[in-house]
Amino acid sequence: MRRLLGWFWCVSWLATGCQMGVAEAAPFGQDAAVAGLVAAVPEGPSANPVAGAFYDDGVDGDARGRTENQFDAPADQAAGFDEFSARKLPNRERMLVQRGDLAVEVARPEAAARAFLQQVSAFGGYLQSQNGPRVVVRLPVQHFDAALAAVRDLGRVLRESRSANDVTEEFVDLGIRLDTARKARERLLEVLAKAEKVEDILKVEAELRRLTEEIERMEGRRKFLADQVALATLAVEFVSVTAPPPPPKRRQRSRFGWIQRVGAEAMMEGF
Amino acid sequence: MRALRQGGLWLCLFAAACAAPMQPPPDFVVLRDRGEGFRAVTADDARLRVRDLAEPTAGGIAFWSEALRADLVQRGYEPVASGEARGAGGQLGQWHEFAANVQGERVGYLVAVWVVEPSVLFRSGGLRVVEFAAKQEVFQARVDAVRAALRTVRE
Repeated sequence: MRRLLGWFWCVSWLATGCQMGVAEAAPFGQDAAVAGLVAAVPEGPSANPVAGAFYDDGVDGDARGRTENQFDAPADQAAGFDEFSARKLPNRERMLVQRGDLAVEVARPEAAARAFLQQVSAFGGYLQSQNGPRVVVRLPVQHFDAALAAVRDLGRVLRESRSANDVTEEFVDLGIRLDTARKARERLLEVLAKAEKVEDILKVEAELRRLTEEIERMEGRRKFLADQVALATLAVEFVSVTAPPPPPKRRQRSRFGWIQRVGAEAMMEGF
Repeated sequence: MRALRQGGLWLCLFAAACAAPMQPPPDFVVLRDRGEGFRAVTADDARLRVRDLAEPTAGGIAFWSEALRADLVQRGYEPVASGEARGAGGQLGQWHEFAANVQGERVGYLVAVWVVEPSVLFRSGGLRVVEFAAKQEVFQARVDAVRAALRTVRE
């Protein structure tokens, strides 16, 4: 029985030890537990993530674009999904920030820009900025290819480039660290409820503040990434077709003879 | 004696008719003061010319001035300034100043015009045109003096 209890204690310690840090080993009551928790909470990107749920952060499913199914996995399934496994995701499940840049030669740039914006609106996108004939739009990533094709149909493509920035690892890493930070905050709240000394209460509250700010920062970053992934950015410049040079103007001779005889040419050349 | 008086009068009238049509600024040397027109130049090649051109006078100064300005603008001259000019007799004329390119050089050009009514004795009436042209920097240095000399133009 004693041996069984010993094994159970060892397994429990291994399961929670990494998160609790030195707190479990501290031999001197509540003060030590507070110090241990403070030491165990994650501090910035260097914190060591362990496990946790990814998506209880308010990022809605639509905002995740094509990677929705993968990242909506329950917390226990997501546990162990580290950066290494993120690198092994197939392309269709990766979180890609897509961007396109085109220059199209058209007869009437203003009309072409209007037609393009109507198309973007039909795709559920919106105009982000406009500077003369250059427009930048955001649109749902599933319509990105269709929007590119629509632009190409408007005129002759002078320049085209597109890029996809993979943010899967950063997104996954943020999710893990967020989960760890939330758990740490819950434990700090428990400790705070039990704390009796003013010094302990102040320490825990200070750490709670820092942790809350960190959580909010990570949540904001994740929402930003999710938005970037869900909505592709497309910049299009509509260039006017170069007009042929106008034919040389035939000057109409003055009907008054004397006017034809005056001028700087006659003064400088035939004086 | 009477014949002498009449001859003297005719001589005075003839001399008046043949007098130079304007007094150019001091730096100008008159090359020709009758015949096809009055011409004067400076040492730095500023050129001044006065001509009488036969045209109907019915249009008046406003008409001819605008006809001249519009034609020069159509030729590519860049209008710089315009104004009224009063000749020696106080008759109203009009001047226009332009910038133009002649044979790849930047040139200043000033033209003033008066409507000359027909005279009983010598003139059939028409337009008196004063032109001043020079390379841009020479023109700039002399245009004020020429514009002032327009007051000496005999209409």
